[in-house]
Amino acid sequence: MKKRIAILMVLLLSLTLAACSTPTEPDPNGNGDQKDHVFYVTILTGDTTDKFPHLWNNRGAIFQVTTFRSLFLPNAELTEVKPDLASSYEISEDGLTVEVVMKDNLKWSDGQPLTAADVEFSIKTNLKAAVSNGIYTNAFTKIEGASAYKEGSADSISGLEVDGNKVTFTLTTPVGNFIQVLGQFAIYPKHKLENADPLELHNNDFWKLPVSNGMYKVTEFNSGNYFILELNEHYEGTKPKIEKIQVNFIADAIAAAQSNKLDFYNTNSTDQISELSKLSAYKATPVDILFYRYLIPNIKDATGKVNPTVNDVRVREAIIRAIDRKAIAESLYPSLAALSNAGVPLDHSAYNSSIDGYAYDPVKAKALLEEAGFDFSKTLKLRMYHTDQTSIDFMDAVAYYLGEVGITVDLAVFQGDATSELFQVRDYDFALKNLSAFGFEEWYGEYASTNANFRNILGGETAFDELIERLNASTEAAERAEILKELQVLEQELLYKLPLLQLKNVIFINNDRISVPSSVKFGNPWYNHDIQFEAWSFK
Amino acid sequence: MAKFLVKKILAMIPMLLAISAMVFFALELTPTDPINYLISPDMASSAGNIEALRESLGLNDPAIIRYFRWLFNLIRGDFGYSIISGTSIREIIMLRLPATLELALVSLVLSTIIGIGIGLLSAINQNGWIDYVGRVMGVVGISIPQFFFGIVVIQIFAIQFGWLPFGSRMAPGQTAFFDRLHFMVLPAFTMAIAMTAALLRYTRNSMLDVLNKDYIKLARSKGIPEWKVYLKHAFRTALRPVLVILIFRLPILIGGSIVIESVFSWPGIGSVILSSISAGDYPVIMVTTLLVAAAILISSIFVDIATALLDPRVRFE
Repeated sequence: MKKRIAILMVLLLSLTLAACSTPTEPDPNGNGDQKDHVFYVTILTGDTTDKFPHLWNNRGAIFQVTTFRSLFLPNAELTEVKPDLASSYEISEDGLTVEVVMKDNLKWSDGQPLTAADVEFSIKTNLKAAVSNGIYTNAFTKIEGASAYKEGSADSISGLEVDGNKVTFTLTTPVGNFIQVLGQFAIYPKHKLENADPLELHNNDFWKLPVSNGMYKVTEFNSGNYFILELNEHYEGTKPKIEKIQVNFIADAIAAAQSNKLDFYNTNSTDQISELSKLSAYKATPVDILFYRYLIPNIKDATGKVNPTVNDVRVREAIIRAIDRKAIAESLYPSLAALSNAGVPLDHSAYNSSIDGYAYDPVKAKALLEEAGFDFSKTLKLRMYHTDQTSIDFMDAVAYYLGEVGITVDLAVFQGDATSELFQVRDYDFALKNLSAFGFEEWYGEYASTNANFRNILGGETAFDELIERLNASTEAAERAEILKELQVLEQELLYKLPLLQLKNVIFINNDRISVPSSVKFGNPWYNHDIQFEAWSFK
Repeated sequence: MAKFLVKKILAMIPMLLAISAMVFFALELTPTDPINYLISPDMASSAGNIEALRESLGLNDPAIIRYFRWLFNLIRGDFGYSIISGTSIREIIMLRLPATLELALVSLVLSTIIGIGIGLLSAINQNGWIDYVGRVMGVVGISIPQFFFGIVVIQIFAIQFGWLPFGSRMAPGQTAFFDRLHFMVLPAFTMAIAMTAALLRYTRNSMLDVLNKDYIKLARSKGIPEWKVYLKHAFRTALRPVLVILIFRLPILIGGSIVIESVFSWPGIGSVILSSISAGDYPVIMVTTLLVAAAILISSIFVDIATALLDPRVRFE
């Protein structure tokens, strides 16, 4: 009997050890999945799994940039564009007129012609769509007559004219990044969506098997399991070498990678980066992006009701000085995080070197708190909506440093959805927030008195408005740099947001299976940019 | 019996109404807004039209009006639409319920056969080697959480050996039931382990209890063959508490297992419930929880029926 039990125990132990050991590496001889000529991508379950993800909110997933195109194709930095659906563009000297000429003979994946009418339809629909990135609304509402159309008092947009394959935009004020925004904006098929309710466009049944205009088209959608992309025979550009993409809805990207069923993945989660880095098949490429991690103070609501705990700017300054951001960055985000003192990264040419570096100084922090008459008997409510372990560790560290200067901290994760908790419920003093920005306009746009969310915690302060407007309108690099420098000074003066870190994103590519040309430069994976996917191939 | 059934079914109606009201108003207390959930605060958002969407979906109406509107539509057979995905809830159920049913059914059958079988043999061979194995299985199955088992079997059989898929329910070209059976092996096995363990322990203990009764000794003294004593005299009586456990597992067929479906990316009802709760997608939460509640209430009726059938002392009253 004892012998049998011993055998059973050994068997159990062996299986447990096998589970804990390093996973098998993909077969270097090219067996099994090595020769499986399907490019594997994942969407994590928890998101909607019964439709292709709508593109006016998140745009940059690899299966999105390869199926839907915009008028222009931006570079990795998102600053320059080259023609895509458009063949050329021209901006008037005053920046108020933009003429875009479309390529001839463009087609949708169902063979229908893709024309300037689709562009007009997409922009008009976007103005009334509920789920859309703010960068589009900010740019398109500057088209003459767009606001009236959006509000329903006009049937058309006077500043949006279509003449053959030419689209002319007349703007009420120059928009510095108008062309770059058009480089992000996915064009939708009018013939398929013209009867859809713009408010619920993101949920339209069109997305179950969308008609596309990129190098691939969706050929099969199996709800909850996967969808398949295959070559779009109506695509006029260079035919991609990879003929099939399978996008799987899965719960665990690491398991997919370990099973050799993941060819491309991007993340800024240190847990995932650590696990994927252990797999020799994957090549990691860190990418500098405008991804901010910062604390927002709940200062005052739109009616002017003030939260006395954080209203004094000295308290806010004390908080940022009390946190050893460098130590946190080095321990939690090794080679992934950079310190952030304002909306402009430290290594950017527009960074204002005269602003404060907020060096870790607990003595000064304590002095500032005392000077501001901070009530140390009061508990500071620190909240977060992130549930990943690194974020929890991050906030634990922040709470620890605040404790070191005598602040009692109540740290918790929000129970409800982030937007409601941050801007409507507002039961916190400071909350952790992230922002993946397309440009500096978004970071500074949060300070605008008109920002529908931030006005609920910043009281609709107008101090930034003029500079933000100038930034939005500016097209000249030197002028933009000057405005940005002024904005950095102002934001440090008011400290309405406490910048902590800027995080890189890491792109992982299955190097055993996929060959990516060395000329490919990756940018912000949440935005459309040229990754030359047509040149990618299987090894 | 017909009267009993009608009475029980009629009693279900106020219970389901009460459950639906409790779930709805409890959701009202949570600070989750499905429309806000649609847009991540990590991205700049276009807030202007969000309010128009909220208005068009009737989300600005008072809770009581929304509840009765939902109830009225439900009575008319209109389950409504998911706020998050826009898909009709009927379609969600039609798509997800088969996945949950097939996984739960296979696990239930597996765990029932193995659990009752080993439990029976353990009791008959008390302190024999099969009893030791059964007891180890019982302790291991009950004490180790399902998600841990799931991760371990994925690591061994999907990642280390590469024999089975690590998740999902099907792959292109493998959508027919028998073609995709291999996708079900790991989740069904994992789900069955904990279910087997509980059943095994109950069956063993119940059998041991019955085997010590006087009427079993009497049966043996009459010279009735041993197998007949076990199966006909002892097992029938021992089955009663086991049956209660078994029947109360039926709601899993409808509600699925959130843990198993999450670990194995199994697209069933459980994962729909989880994601709809995170998003505050109340039309989906209401219908799915009501389905699960109905399944539990029906199971309870089944328990009453089964008890009466197995025990002549119990009457349908």
